Amino acid sequence: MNSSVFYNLSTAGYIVTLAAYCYHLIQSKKELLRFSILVMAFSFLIQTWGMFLRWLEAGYIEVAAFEKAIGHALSGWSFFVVFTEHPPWSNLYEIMIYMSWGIVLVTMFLEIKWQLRWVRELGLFLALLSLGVASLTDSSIKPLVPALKSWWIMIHVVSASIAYASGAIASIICLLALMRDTERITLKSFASFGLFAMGILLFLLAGGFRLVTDQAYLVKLLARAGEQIVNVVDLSEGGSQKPYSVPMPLVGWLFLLVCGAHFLGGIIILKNEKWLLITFKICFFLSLITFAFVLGHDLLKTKITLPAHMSHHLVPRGDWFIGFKSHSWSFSLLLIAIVIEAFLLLFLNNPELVRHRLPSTKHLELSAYKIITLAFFLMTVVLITGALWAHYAWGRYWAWDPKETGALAIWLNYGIYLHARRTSGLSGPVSSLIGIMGFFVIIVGFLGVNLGLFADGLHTYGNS
Amino acid sequence: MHKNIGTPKLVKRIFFDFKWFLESLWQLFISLKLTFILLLIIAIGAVIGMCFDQTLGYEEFFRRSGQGETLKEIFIFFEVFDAFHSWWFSLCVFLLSANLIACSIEKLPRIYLEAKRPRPYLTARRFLGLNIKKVILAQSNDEANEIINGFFSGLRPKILNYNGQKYWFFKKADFARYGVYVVHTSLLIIMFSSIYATQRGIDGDLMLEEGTKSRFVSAKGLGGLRFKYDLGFFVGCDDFRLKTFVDDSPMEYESDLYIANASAREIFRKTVRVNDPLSYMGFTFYQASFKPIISEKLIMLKITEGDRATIHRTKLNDSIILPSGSNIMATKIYEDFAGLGQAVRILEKTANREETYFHIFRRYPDFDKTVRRAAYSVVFVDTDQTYVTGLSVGFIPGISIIFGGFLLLLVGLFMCFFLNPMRLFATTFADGNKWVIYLAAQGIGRNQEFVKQFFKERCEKTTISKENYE
Repeated sequence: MNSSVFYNLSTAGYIVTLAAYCYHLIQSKKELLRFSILVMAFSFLIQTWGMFLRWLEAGYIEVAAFEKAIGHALSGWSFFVVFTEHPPWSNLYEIMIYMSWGIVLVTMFLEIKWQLRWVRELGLFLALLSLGVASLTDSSIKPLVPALKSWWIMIHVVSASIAYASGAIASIICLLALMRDTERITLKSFASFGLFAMGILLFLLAGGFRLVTDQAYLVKLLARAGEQIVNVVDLSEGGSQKPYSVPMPLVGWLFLLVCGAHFLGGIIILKNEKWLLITFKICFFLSLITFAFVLGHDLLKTKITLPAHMSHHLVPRGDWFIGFKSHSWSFSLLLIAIVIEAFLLLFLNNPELVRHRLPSTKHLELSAYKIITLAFFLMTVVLITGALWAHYAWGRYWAWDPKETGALAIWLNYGIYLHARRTSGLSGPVSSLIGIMGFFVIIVGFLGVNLGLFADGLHTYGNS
Repeated sequence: MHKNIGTPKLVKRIFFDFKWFLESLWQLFISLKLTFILLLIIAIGAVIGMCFDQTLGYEEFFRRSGQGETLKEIFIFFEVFDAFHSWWFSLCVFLLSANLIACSIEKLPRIYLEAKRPRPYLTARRFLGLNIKKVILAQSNDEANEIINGFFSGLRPKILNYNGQKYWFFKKADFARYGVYVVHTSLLIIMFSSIYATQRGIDGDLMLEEGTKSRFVSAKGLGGLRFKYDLGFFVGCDDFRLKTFVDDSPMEYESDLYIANASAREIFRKTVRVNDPLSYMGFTFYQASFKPIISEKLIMLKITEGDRATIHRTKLNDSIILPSGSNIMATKIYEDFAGLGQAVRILEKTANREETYFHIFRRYPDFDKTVRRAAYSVVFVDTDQTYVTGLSVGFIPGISIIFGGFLLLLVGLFMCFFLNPMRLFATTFADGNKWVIYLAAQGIGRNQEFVKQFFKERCEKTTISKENYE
């Protein structure tokens, strides 16, 4: 059996677990919880086995390619080296699957340790999302490029994924700590701040200042080439071969409206607490409509026609359309944003529903602190192994490459968190906010190249 | 601390009350809030720097970005094209290190004294000073001892006598108190040695054609400006080999390098690969890239005339003159000639200008000798594409210190996060016909909660059904 079969099985298992968890939120029965934990653990084992199989599959491919290139069969130690040098975390598809593995691992660890409500649901959601993104990327196994053939890849990527996963989970706990905190945070300030933050998030997701100047949400144009769906490439810029982007019809304006509503809503709530819930509901409704439009365009594969003077240098020709593949990263981030906002609304609608059975604020903050210390330690390992590897492979232990700088920003963010925890006046909600920021810094650092935030540098292998 | 006083008064005060000024400055530099702000600026700066391409250098950056004049002025002021070496980034890093040093100087002596002299006796005064504590009543001395032994079960405390009073004392992982200092010291080591390395180091490229040598490296200077750096010795490349997979993607590549001194005498040689560099005199040469020289494919032919065989390396369309007067020339290379593998088409011009073509195959070395049966035979031995090997040249003074800093950082973080320094104290006094047991514990700032929990569990285990004194 092939590794993808096991991946699909584990995905199904996680979906069942998530459904059971959600049902458990409504009807809390001990048996149900036990059942879902068992299913999760079992799916996790299946996924681990799938990853092991993938390692073997890649090993056979590496050995076959190597033997073909050198012309004779490998044996003994050299066979072992070539066979194992391609771990199942060396391209984007594998990294996304591996990320979900890390998230589930951390979630299960927390399940054993603290049994926190909401953490497991949101954690599993992130894991499933990461599996979903993986399904959109190329899953074929290609022989490794020379620079990746190093033992450093094992420890470097393994610690990176667990660090990112624990950072993401810690940010969920930090959010819960803010929600649980009845003494220091009023609902009014929470709602107002939440709307501003969501507004900024949606604004950045929709393309930042480009949204104001062009009123456009740009996505990549797609076309069919035989069986495959490929990006349409613009050959006009001196053969630079950049994927061509088009504005998604109407969505740009909707985003502008949504962002405006969020900022306005934030101000309204600050001025008058009476309108808190209705304002938040309107904002959420607007974001939901925008999301529905985006989803609709993607599902219906809206056809795009361009004027002739713009389109004559686009390749391939034929029917152009837009779909999930044209903005898979921003789509999944948009989905995350919608889920966060829904969760915030759920909380504001009935705070006691969320706070129910959550441990004290202090306990939650302490839990977040413990996980962040782990994330910080692992990030240090990532930076150090990265520096050593870069030194031996490229002769530069540090080159301010975007991905390196991104990892440094994540590390600094958690460094700030650890110092804020020890500073009077910053140890409570402020440090929780920094913990939540960690999630977004991780996304910028981890996916910045894919999101087109900055040019790719030396880490191009992970972004195919 | 001090009331808000107007600017003229502040200036006057700084001028006349210099001691106050120094004191305030010191207070500023030992505050964690400054650390917080500086780290925040550095983190935001890192994210901003990430969004601009840092590899272009000043001129290329502005040629590509095409900004308006005002924005350009701002970009130049903040040096966004080289953000990580800009004045503001360096200033923040400098202030942060000052902050770090000041904090260490302020707090280290106290921690040192505390760790050096643990004060194991739980006197009344000490008991008041600790905040994790409990008082329990026992009926007799034996029972009191039993409770205390239960409290320390499995831990092996020291039992001390002081002024006729018995004290129990236990400490664990006390050295982990220094964890924070190890971390901060290692960060300072890494920061300063990195700054030194960038100031004094060389970060360059060397493109070497096969069969050539060079002593000049194209090095990158401040602001991305390039300059020629004289190594003082020669680096040469004899051969570059590229192994490819069947689909022509590179599998492995390597260069045979040698080092020669200023008078061109060879000193030693090594084959460098990706992830396996050559080091000499502090310079390290890394296999970083390669570039084929187009139309520079060499063909190796072995020509046998009578009993004399010669090996020729020739390019396409270069003629080889044979002793017999005719000359031959390779005119085409076939990667696969009708399923027989690699082949070369040879054009033969005899002395009286007759032109004939024939083919020779790499896989069948005897082909020409047996089939053509001419005065000479040609064997197609090999082809060789000429490459330029791309070497990264690094001279990083004190790299071992930086790596030592990394190791120290890991050790320090481990001490900080995974060890829980803890001290447990106990003593008992007679009070009337009862015995009062004093139990206490001490952690350090970060693991206070852990120690509290540990202490609580220990107390609960030993004193079920015992009444509390307070």
